[in-house]
Amino acid sequence: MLRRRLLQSLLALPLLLAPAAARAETPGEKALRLHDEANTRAKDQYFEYDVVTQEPGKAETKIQMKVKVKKDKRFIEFTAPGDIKGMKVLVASLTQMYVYLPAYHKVRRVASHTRSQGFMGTALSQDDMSITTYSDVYAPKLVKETKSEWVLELTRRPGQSHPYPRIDLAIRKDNHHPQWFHLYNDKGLKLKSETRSDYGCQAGNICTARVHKVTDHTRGGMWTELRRTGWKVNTGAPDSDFTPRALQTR
Amino acid sequence: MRKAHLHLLLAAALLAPASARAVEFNFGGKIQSDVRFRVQEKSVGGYWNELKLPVGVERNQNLLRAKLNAIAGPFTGVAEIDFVWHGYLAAPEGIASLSRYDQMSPYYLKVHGLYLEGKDLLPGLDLRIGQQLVLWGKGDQFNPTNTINANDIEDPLLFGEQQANLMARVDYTFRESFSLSGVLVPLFKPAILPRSGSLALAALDRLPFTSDPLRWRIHAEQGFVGGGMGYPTVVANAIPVLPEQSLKNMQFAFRLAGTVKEQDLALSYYNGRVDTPVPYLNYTRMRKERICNPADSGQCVNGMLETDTYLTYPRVQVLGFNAAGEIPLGKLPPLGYRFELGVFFPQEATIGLLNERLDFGLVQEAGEYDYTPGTPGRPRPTTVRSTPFAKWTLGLDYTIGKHVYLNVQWVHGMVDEFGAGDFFSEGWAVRQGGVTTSTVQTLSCVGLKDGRKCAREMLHPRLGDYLVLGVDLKFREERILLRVFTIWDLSGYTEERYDEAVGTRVRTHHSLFSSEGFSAVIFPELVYNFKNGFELGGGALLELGKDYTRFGDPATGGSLIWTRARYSF
Repeated sequence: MLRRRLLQSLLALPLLLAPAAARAETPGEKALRLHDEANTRAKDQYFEYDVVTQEPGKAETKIQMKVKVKKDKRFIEFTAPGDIKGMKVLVASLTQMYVYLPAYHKVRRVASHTRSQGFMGTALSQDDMSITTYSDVYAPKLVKETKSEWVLELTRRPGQSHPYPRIDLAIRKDNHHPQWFHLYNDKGLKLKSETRSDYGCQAGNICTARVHKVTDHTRGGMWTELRRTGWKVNTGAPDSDFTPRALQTR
Repeated sequence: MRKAHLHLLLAAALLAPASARAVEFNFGGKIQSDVRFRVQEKSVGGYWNELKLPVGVERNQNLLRAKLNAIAGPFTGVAEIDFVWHGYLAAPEGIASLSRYDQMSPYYLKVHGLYLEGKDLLPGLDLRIGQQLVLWGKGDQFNPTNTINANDIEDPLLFGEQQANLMARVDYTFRESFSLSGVLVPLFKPAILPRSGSLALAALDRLPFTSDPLRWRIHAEQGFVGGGMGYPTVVANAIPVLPEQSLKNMQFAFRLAGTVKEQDLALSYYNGRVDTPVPYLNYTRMRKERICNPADSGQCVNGMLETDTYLTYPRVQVLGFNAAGEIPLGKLPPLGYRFELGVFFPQEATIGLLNERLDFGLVQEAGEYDYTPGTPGRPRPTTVRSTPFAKWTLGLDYTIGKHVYLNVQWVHGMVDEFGAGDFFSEGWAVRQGGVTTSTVQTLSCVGLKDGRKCAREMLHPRLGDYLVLGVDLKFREERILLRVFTIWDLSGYTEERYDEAVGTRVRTHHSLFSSEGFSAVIFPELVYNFKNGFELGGGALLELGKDYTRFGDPATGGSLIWTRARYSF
């Protein structure tokens, strides 16, 4: 009897401690949690993008792609230009990425070390494309709050391998989505900036920006814009659409 | 219950609104033109049967690839076909050739895929039927477990390419990251060999027998008959004999694949046939015709022993293991790895040597060779032992900064190497053979039916070890790609001959770092991508080493330089 009571007490202990843990959430953590929730609120989403890149002094180049997103997983299919048409990328997690190369008819696992390389010659890197939620990877600190936004300084958590040790992030209060990012290296040098604009919403509170603009300050201000040309939410995409098997079908 | 479920699915498909059943088409492809030049002449054979690859244009290949996907609900139809037109042709065979487009403008179709696919026919179950590729190997280009499709090594620049074949494939995915696959291949397809592969037919000294004494004896006999009697042996015809199309000759394979602790793992089993041919019957006849060396009329042969060689494709079972993932490197980004292992269980292959009555002063009556003196005709010698053997590829890759990608691989067993013969189980491939003795001494070896004291061979393990080193350098936002890949034959070559001084046969090993043992491929290329579908590229394929080596072999086609223009749409 005594033993059962002791066991019940031990089981109850985490419940008693839980509210204390919840109270410990800092304003920065709350803002980032709201951001992550907003990013994963949809059951799934489907986008079509024109990805326009401008290198200083050169003509614009354009890539077209379709992107399916479900929670933290992404499935990208390139549709233009012809040399990358049919190429597909699956981001199964931050450390598991696969690519289907139509010329080789083969799915190849992409090792993490390649992710700092450019993404198809754009200002984005593969790492930039792979992250959806930040709370697990970064510790947030609220550095500024205005009527319309929270500004956070994110510091990479120990053991995490995302390439930017610090990110400054402004989160809109109205839809909890990002307004802008600044990405820094370990010497505090600003490597990239990203702005997101022209937000639209569907199904009530599922929102995304129509334009993402990423500027690479290490490459003379080269920029890439992801211009959304198509968007659907809650399409009913099954989990099987986000597996290596899906790369080889269709 | 299951039947009811199926009926419901069918009913749902039939009742689906027209919009849901609408067909979506995707079309794409490429137009590509290749021009290649051979920069080094390669030849084999004596003046009586010389085969030569001259310096000059090696090929002008113009290709249109069309790819069409038609998607209707869970069903997809895929067609991916190359139309290839050669701008460079061989000499017309006669005046009639000048009226034939197929001879004056040679062309062909190549199917990469022509299949129908049903996705999630039952939860997690996909079915694909038609001409298709099933590539399970995780290695880069060197895939000992890609045994389901036959290799296509016609084009040395497309190393690792395979041919589509008729198959039925079922994939069942469970627990999100695991899949069980089954493949049935009703018809056997052999490998497509390099155009220069015919030169290998002139290399009759590369005796395929596993028995050392038999090889030494035949080297002595070929040396005596060819040198002393003036009747060299040549291959008149090489005739591949495909397995009959029957239920028992169907090939099949299974695979279980999944991700465990972020490592991609797969186990596979294949039951079928090796796709590169091995000889199983030689039939030799005599052709009496005096042929003199055009460059030296005093040098003549009295005729030739012409051999028809029949080729077969032995059965084999392959257990495969694939793994790919990352190796942590502390604070640095992890190292990528790929490991692919195939354990082969081959059917033993033997060869019969038959001849017509041969009369070159000495008479050899018609019949079968007495492989073991005293017991003519039996047992037939082995060309592939049934001893199991392993081929593998261990690859590591790493990226340095934004511009440099490195790839290193240890390849044990090249695509066409087959049969036990490495550090687990001794077995040699003869790369060059002959005699070191005078005609009289050779006659003595022939008379004694023992070539031990006469024969000389240059040997290479049946399964060689190769180091692949590659680097990609990307510049100008990935517009410029400079790629250099190299393959180094680590096994070296072993020369074996009889040493009078010690009274036995001795072996001398020539390593990669000696002129006798050096063999390598250096494959640099430079590609400019205009970022709108256009690409221009050029490079070289340098095949280095002496003629008996793996890569210096004339049958590889010799060194090339090439240019390529491509537009993808």
